[in-house]
Amino acid sequence: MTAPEPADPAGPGTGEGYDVTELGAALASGGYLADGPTTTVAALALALGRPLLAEGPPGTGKTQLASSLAEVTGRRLIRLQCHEELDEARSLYEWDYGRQMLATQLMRPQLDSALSGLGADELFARTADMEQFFFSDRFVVERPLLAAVRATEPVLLLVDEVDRADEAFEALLLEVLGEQQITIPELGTIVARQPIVAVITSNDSRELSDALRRRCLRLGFTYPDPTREAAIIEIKVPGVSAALRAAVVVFLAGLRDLGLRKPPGISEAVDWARALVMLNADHLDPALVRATLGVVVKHAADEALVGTNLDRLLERQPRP
Amino acid sequence: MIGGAAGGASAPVGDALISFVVSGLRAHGVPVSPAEVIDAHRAMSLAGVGDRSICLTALRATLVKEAAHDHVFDLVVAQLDLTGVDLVAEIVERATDADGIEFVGPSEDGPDLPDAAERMRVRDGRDDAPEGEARAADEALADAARSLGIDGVELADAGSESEADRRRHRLIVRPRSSAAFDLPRADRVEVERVARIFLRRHRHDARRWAPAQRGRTDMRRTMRNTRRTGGVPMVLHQRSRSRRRSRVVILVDVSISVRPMATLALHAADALTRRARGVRLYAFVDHTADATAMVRRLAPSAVVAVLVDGGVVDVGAASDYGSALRSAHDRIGPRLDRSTTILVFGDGRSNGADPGYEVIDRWRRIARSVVWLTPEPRGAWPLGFGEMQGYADRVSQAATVRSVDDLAAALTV
Repeated sequence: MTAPEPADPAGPGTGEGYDVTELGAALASGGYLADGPTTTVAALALALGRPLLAEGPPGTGKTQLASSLAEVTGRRLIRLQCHEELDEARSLYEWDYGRQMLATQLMRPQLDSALSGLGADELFARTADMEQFFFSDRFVVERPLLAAVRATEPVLLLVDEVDRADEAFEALLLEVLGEQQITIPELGTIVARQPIVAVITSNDSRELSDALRRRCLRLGFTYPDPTREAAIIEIKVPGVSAALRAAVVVFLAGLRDLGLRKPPGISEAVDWARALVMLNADHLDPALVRATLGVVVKHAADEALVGTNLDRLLERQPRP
Repeated sequence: MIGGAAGGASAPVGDALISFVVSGLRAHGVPVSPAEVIDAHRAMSLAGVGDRSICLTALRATLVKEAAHDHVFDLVVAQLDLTGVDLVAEIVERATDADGIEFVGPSEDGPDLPDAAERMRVRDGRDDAPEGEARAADEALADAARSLGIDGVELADAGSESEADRRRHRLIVRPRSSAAFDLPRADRVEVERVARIFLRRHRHDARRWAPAQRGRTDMRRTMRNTRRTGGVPMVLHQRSRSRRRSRVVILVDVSISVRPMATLALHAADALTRRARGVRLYAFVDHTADATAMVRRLAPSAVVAVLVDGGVVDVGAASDYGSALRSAHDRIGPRLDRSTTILVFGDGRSNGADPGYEVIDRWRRIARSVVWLTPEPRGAWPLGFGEMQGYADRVSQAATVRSVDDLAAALTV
């Protein structure tokens, strides 16, 4: 599937320049600890006006990056959650059928009197104007993509988990992201009033088309290194001791090497640390891990796998 | 401006860097479109070349659009320090050692990285050297560059210059192409055939008869259960073939010591991995790393290039089979079962480190079979720090593979 190239291959830029260090500091002050590449690519995406394609396993902070970026740059976040049945009506726009019907009912007496006694040709000539009335801005229901294109204030469009939608939807995205416009047959082409900054996230459950990839700046997310993960837990969970942080981080690193169906992400790490703090734990022991495993491991098969490897995982714990 | 200081003077360096990286990526079969190159130039003008990590991140984000291609990017960039200085110094040092070639310095008539590549002048130390020696010097230089993993070395005489300059040469360094790792066509076909037969046989073996609600009558079970009813078969037992998903785990030693054999081994590993979903490929030297995802998105020769050049595990490290096997077990151990075959390509030279026999013993107990292929003939196994005999005693099958024919003999018979 190949879509036509945008007229200007260089694409529009937002004209905004963000210094990498400053952007990193701003994100950190908002509670998002980004590493060097993340900040650099985010700054580039803002400056070049190219969508940022964030790829990586679930729970590594891709969606959070979009909302933090929106906050830092003062943009309104418009979120489009993708799923298998996502189509134009749910992502772009929809005609408000109910209101259209209501309007015809209300106008019925006038229509009856105005149109009575007309011949077929004349009748169609008159109703042609009507069609324009019914298929006008008045009856359009905005969905996230149209909302982003028509926004008068700066917006950040988050297309979340694009790999869950089908390929037809990707093709739809190309026009919005590549040319920053949307074509509605009845209304014509609507060009974005503001350069749209977009963040697209993908969990790699399906191969994305090359056409979409080519238009984006790609940023690969992985699980953070132990130091950064400990720092994130420190920010998100007040009152967690350094020893417990280290224990959690080391245990989770071992867990991720185990080849689980759903390895724990950063959000699980934070939840787990929070749960352990509530239980007044200061170190990990087998009973405690078994009792709280549900916070971290989400499949029965994974739980069994962790159970059989628990002793080995706990052996790696840092010595106090 | 989003990064550190760039300045106007660095623009040619940035341009040269982009075209070096782009040609390097394309040489390994990674598609880079003109639109992406334009993006890279725009990103570079914003990022500047002042900060290495920012600059490379900008290039990676604009030129590399798939996780599997990240390895190739790392490989290409590893050939070229941003300033070019390290690369030049290294070539010159090696060339000087080899045959008395003297380094004059980067050419004065261009920026640091012109012509999409590093350019410099090298002069034969002795201006009056006879023709033969000068040629030998040229070759030594070309060899030195090649040994650094750089192809396309061009030694051009500075034609119209004075006699003293006649022996000056210009060295143009182009990124290496993975074409160097291609197998001859006939060998490639044979490797494919071996992979097909090996996997078919393996799949067949992984099928087992199992009790089922329908299928063929299981006479043995039916008759065994007639004792209760005085020999009259009242309940019919049936069985059918259960297709358990078979798995193959391939471990390839990519250390420098097995390099002569690595191309064939890696092509075989690549062909097997490409062919079936249940095959996983791991590369090891002193630890083990998963290389499966890469195979699906890169050409075979590019996969080999990435593995041999240390794109997945550091090939410069000393081989440590014990540690490599244990880290492999951490990865594959939890999912190991009777339907798994483990295939190891390696010379079994652990440099005196613990050979990790207990891991092999455990695999032998759990897995269907463990096959070990080594490039060394049996006579050489006990020499030096060789542990191969120990491995051979433990695995289901050990064989010497030095050619495609050996491979076919080991895996299809």
